[in-house]
Amino acid sequence: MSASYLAGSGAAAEASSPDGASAAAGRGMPRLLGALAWLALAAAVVVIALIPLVYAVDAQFYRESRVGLSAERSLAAARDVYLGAEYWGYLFSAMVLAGLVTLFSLIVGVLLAFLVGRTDLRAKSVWDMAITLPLYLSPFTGLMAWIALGSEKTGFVNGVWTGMMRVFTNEPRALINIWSYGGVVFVMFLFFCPFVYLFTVGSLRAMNGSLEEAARTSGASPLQTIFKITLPICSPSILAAGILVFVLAAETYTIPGIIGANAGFTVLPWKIFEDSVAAPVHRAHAAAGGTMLLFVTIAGVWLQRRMTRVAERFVTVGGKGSQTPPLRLGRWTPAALALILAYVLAADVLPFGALLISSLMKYSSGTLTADIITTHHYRTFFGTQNMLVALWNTVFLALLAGVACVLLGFVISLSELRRPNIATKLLAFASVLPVAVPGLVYGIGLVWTWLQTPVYGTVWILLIAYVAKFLPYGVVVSRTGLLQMHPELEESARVHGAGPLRTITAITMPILKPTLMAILFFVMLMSIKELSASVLLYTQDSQVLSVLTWHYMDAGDYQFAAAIGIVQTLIMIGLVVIVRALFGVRLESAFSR
Amino acid sequence: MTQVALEKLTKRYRPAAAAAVNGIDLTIDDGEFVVLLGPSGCGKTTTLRCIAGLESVSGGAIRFDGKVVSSAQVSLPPERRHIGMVFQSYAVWPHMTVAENVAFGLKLKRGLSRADIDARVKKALDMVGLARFGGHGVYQLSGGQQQRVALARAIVLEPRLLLFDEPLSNLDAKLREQMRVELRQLQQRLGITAIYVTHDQEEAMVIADRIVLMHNGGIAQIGTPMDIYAKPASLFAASFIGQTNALLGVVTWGHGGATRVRVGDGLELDSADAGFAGGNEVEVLCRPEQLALSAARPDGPNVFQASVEQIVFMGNSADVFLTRGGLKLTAQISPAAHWPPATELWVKIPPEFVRLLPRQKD
Amino acid sequence: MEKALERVAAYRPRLARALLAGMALAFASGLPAAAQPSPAPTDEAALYEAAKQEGKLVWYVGGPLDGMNAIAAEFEKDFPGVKVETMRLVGVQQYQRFMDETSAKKHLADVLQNTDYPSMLSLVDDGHIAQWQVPTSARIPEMYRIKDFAYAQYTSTNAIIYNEKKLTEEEIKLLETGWEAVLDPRFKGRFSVSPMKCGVCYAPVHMFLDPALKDKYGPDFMKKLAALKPASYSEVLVTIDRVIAGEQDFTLWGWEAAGAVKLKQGAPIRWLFPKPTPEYGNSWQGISKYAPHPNAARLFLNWTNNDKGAGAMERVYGSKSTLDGLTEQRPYVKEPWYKQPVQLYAVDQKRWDANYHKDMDLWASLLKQAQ
Repeated sequence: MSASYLAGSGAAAEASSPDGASAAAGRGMPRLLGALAWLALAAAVVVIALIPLVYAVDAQFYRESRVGLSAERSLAAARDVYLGAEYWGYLFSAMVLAGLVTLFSLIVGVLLAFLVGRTDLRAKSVWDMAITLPLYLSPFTGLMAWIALGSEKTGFVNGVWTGMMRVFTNEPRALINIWSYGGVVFVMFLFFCPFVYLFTVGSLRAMNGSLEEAARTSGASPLQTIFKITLPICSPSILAAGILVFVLAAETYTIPGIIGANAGFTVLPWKIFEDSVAAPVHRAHAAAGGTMLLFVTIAGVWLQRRMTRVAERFVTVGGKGSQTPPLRLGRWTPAALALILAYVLAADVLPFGALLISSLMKYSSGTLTADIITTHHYRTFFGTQNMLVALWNTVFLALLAGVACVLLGFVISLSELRRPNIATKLLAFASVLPVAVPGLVYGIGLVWTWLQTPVYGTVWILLIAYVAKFLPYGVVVSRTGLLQMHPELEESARVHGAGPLRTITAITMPILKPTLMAILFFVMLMSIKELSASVLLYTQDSQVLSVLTWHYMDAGDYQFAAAIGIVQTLIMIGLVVIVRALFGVRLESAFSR
Repeated sequence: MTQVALEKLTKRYRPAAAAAVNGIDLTIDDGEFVVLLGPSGCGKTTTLRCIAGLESVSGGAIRFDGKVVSSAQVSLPPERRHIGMVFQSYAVWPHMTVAENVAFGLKLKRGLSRADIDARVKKALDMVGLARFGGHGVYQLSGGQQQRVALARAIVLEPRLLLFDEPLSNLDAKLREQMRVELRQLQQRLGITAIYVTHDQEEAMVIADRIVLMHNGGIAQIGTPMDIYAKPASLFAASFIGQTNALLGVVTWGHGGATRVRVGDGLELDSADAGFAGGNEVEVLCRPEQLALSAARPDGPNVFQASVEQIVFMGNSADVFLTRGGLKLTAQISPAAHWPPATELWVKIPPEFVRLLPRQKD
Repeated sequence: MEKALERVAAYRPRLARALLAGMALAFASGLPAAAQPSPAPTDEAALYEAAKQEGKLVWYVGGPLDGMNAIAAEFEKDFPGVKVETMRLVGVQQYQRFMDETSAKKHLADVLQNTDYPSMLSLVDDGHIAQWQVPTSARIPEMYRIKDFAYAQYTSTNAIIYNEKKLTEEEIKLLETGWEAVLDPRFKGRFSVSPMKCGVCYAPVHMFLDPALKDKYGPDFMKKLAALKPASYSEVLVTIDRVIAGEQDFTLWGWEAAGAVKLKQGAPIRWLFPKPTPEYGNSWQGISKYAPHPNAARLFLNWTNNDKGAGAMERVYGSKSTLDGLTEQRPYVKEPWYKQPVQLYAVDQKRWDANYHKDMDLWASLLKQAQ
């Protein structure tokens, strides 16, 4: 990896510390401690990430009882799922859906990233923030908002639209119907597009401008340069983001599940959910279905790793970002602005607006009248003890999970890059695996792993679940950051008197601060929104906001759930603002490395 | 302050691969400025990094003042070797100011008060000419200034050994020339043993007390710049350092303090080198600046005619490319003069500058 | 382990003692507090004292969180010093969680409230529910009790929930005559159903597929119903929400308690009971045999089954209590539009158990075919 920076100097790719030499008298102790520490870390990752996975996959090989699993082994469920057509059909549905969502997310996300990252568009930081705002809303909450907006007869949007259309015709048709396949694709697209945007805009900003200049001086028009040079060079990042979105979309069950029955389709994750939770329960089938999904997502993760390996070769030396002047939009400016505004309207203004309004309504309604407005939900929320406990738990877990993922991810990537051997590489790979596991399946495995321990029933099992689930981001993002850091920065510290540990804390981590902050933000947001594992692991002592929202949704109390959703969003924004102020970094700029 | 000894130093990156450094022996005296010079891949940087403790050693040993610091069994970590190192990429830490960069190593030492640290930092910055820049962020500095920060950082710790890994190769030519003189002066003033790696032979000659010429993992020749320049021990040494005309020749006769050798189409040259017998195949070397050119025929030995192919004007000198029969020669004249191509000129080479080396069969 | 402690003790005596004390405390608090003999069910004062010592009880609920929290709040008002912690787990999920926890000896639940009768029956039969005869047990009909173990808190009656602005008087009267009235062409496209499997969802289907009623209803009726292509939602509560919003005029798949909850929130809905009206015991409650706070649990179970608790439930939640002779306290009963069900239909528990999945699968496939 450093060979690309020190071309021709014959310098070693590994800055292996001489501590790697065989132990000498008096030198053994610190090295032994180091090895023990690494072993402890590896053990922790295995326990946290792998054992639940093993349990979860193993669950499919038991005979099912009416209410769960019996103690005897059976291949019946596995046969049913793998050899029958039913579950393959659901898997196919899920992949088609994920494919469509990914396609739209890629097209719009890359376009938006390009507009913000490479053109002379004004107010870039505003658009940056607006385009990434959907990250602060859980897709599930967003769905509720869009149900309120897009239901055929009573949605707000349709209400306004038909109101306008009544001028022209007596029987105006609704503009949109959210209770459809298209509706599902649309809502999922709104929430996954920011992922693509975030990963792409960073890559675009960091690209070496002289590469484009060379194309221009060879006679390529701006448009040709974009398609023949800019996008191909950024394609590893773009594709990696696309794969990530595909994997996440394929395991989403809330949106396609709730709308799916009405629209006549079923996706595999929803089937897994039903098998796990709705009577009659088919736990072994759920485990088998989950394993199917696992294979798909493992393939995705493997592909993503290969893509990022390619991307490493494209990283510019110095990484200071392009110096070329941005592309002039000229007469395309209104069109560009229209696109951005359309997205912001659909992804930010409408859902947040609808959510806010819903949270202030007594009950669902297509029309807003004065007597329907109330602050009752908020007053109840802030007046109930266990709701405030849930709020505290959510914040507490988000912070701890964030910090844990940053530190663990950093250490795992650091050891993989600085002491590359089979053990560190395996650990890095193993720690990334959980991203491929659907939360439901994983949650079941976690319950079984920790049931007999004091951890069960406390907040700590949720922390373990979040760390296991989000550690992959910590590992992958810190790896990218470390790769872009010149090893001589660390070597000069060593030479001037700093030991390995001091070098990491005084040099490596401070230089990587933006990267580490990006991980912190990301994991915090994801933890707050996490639902599928939380819903299986929580107990009355360890409630969190996402689970509360789910319960209220489940009980038909959509307005109260909307209020909790708003509180959840405010917490996310609050945490990001505070961390930003403390460390002086922005989520968006953190990804442009 | 420290004597450094390399004893059969060997470094292999992979057990089965060829050695990057293959059993080299070298002693560097206290206070000496030694330059490891050679082309890419010769092992000079690897050797330096082994001395720094940034690479482990596969065989042999490195001693500081007689004590082993690196061997196949033992390796003192870099932070315990009391060395200073200046890297090619400067490696100044972007998240610290200039003063903080320089103070970093001092802060790690115990028993130094804040005032002590500040004073030493100031002194170091003064020495490199960055007195006013203490509070600046490093990103505000030019490449040359960043390099000086790296230098100040290295010397502030009063190390017993200074290591330089191609520190000037990222700077522009003028700055490079200026800085290498400054580096030399600084080292002389401080009296610290210095080991410097570069592929630029001109740079090596300016700053070195001794040059260690390296090739393919081994040492080709060790000597003062003048020695190596005047008496290269191999064709490689002759062509790597300075420019050389290299011709294949056969000894006509040799005795006492002289040898006559025939080159090319029958041109016979006298050389002051001895120890060759008739029939030996030799490399005949002479430096371009030793070829005297004139329009009129001069007196003395080794006088012959050649015609001008091309002249390259270099400011204070000119390279004159000559041909004679099948031979091609380059002469360097200072001050520059100009002749049109195809001009016939008289060339004279004093015998003491006609060097002979046994023909190397590679 | 001892050796380690010894070594620690040698160097840090105070630390060692603190460790040991901590371990002892942790160990002790993990033991079930079943040491003392329990007070008699009728001795409320003693039960209350013992409950106060325990301080709280954990209530696993299957009903909506809002409503159950309201009931819990009423209990806490009547018995200050005993907190109720609610934890929502629905149906089979609750059963699974409870069984997982029990087999791992992690006893967290005190009172189990499950809307899934077969689950509760299983638990009683397998000996996981403690026997406890509430003082008012004589006033609870046998069909709403599982011997002296579990008690149905309220009954569920199926109702057509409608948007108050969307049905005329005439239409209401028509629908009250019977479920078959919905096949009238004037109702086409105006109502919703759900293929979801749940107790209240199954009850009408159970009735339609009663062999004794096969002339009136039967699979034919269900086919005709599906052929009307009603709006179908995966969640039954969504059907009600859409009626509130005005997207549909009424839902065929409603029940009184759901309507009551929404009405309390001010939603513009009402409900009517076509005849015959399925009614069955719901919200089965029992005390876990391994309850960590047994006396608080007993106090609670007593309360939910007596006039105070049942009355509170009717007031703040709105379902009809199973307690005989309770004065009517449901607030909406006094409304002018409210009419009691005219003819009740009692479910057959055996047939329910046997045919639940078969019948619901039939309904789901009929709906799918019709699309």
